[in-house]
Amino acid sequence: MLKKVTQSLSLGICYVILSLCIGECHPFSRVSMYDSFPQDAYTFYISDGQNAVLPLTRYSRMTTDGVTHFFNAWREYRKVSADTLMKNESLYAEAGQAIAREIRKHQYASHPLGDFRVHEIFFFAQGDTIKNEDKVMYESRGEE
Amino acid sequence: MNPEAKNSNTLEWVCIKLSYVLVSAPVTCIMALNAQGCPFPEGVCRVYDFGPFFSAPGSYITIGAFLILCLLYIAEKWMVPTTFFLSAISCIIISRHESNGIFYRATVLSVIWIFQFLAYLFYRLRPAFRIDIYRMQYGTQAVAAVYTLAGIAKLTASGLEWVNAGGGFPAQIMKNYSYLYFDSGDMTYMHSGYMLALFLLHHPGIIQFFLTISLVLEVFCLAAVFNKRILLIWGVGLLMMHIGIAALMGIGISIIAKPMVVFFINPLYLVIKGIRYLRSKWGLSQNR
Repeated sequence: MLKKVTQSLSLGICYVILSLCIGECHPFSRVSMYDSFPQDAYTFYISDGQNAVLPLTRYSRMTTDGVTHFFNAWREYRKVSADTLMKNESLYAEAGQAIAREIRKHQYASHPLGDFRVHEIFFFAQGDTIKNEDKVMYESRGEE
Repeated sequence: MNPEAKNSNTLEWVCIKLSYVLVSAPVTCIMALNAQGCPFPEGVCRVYDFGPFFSAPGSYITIGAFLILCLLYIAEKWMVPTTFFLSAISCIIISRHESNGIFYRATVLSVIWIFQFLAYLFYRLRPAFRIDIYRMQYGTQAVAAVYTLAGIAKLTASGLEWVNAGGGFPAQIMKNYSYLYFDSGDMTYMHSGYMLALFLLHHPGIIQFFLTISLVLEVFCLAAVFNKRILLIWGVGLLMMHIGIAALMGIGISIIAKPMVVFFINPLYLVIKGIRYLRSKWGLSQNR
């Protein structure tokens, strides 16, 4: 029975072990999406000078989901923890600038973005309700 | 193997091949077309960025080569080199795509191609190897291994406490619904997300129940590979899980669900079998 199990699953088991050892290096992965539920969840949006939301997909081929992925990749590539980023204002603005550049890189020629602000918004449960906290990361000028 | 079983096995494999190309080729082509830069090198792009493969003409040549290989794969031609190059191109495209920081979490697609290449390689090296069984079973193992890894990641990061998500799960729901609002500017998404998050915050038992089922389905996924009936049940369970996640979290069905449906459920084969069964029943009743 044990021989049958190991024979039938040998490749799958090998892949699992190698992925656990190697980590994130395609085609290996630890598949860590939603492996924990931190008490707050964050994402990003862009607004005009009056802080009115600018619908991202109207101006850019990027989606808000994509912006969040981009931010996480930037943070991992720069080896910056979330805590460090929150404490270091210039680094935080640098992250916002990187996001703004990426959004501009993918903007539609027919709907050019003027000046806009990059916001980070946090959602969290407090007592029996859901709250949010909003922070301006960076102000992007049209000529950037 | 008797001829009837052999025919059934061949049909099952053809259905898997057709369905897998149908679910994997479009997403692979989209990733190839969108892989514009390489700011955060991942996978094979850490060694070489494969820039010429994704230049204006290069991306069309890469996609063309991938599609021609898919046709050879469906036609069962030169399977060792065909599956090898499909694996290689898939690894390059997905690595380059992930190097942009915006990723579809499509790892499983390359893993399936690699496992199928290994099945044909083993058959080439050892003709007694049961290729008729393992070309399908290896694909199933690939999908199951990725689910098992997802389960292990949850247990490693959060332990069994993962199922007691507390306020973290409603916060995730708000985040995902806010994606829809910030993309479209339609405030009704925020309202829907808020109502749902609030409901689940007040009824944590519902989240706990569904998260427990999800964790069991993922951690023990490799065990389902043994038996076709269990595999089908597992496949339906995982499909329900993905539909539930999509409905609750306001996100699309994740990419892994598609090859999972192909290898665990094989709906095209079930439909053909169903039609044949009905035909034979109808034919018999006509002859009576």
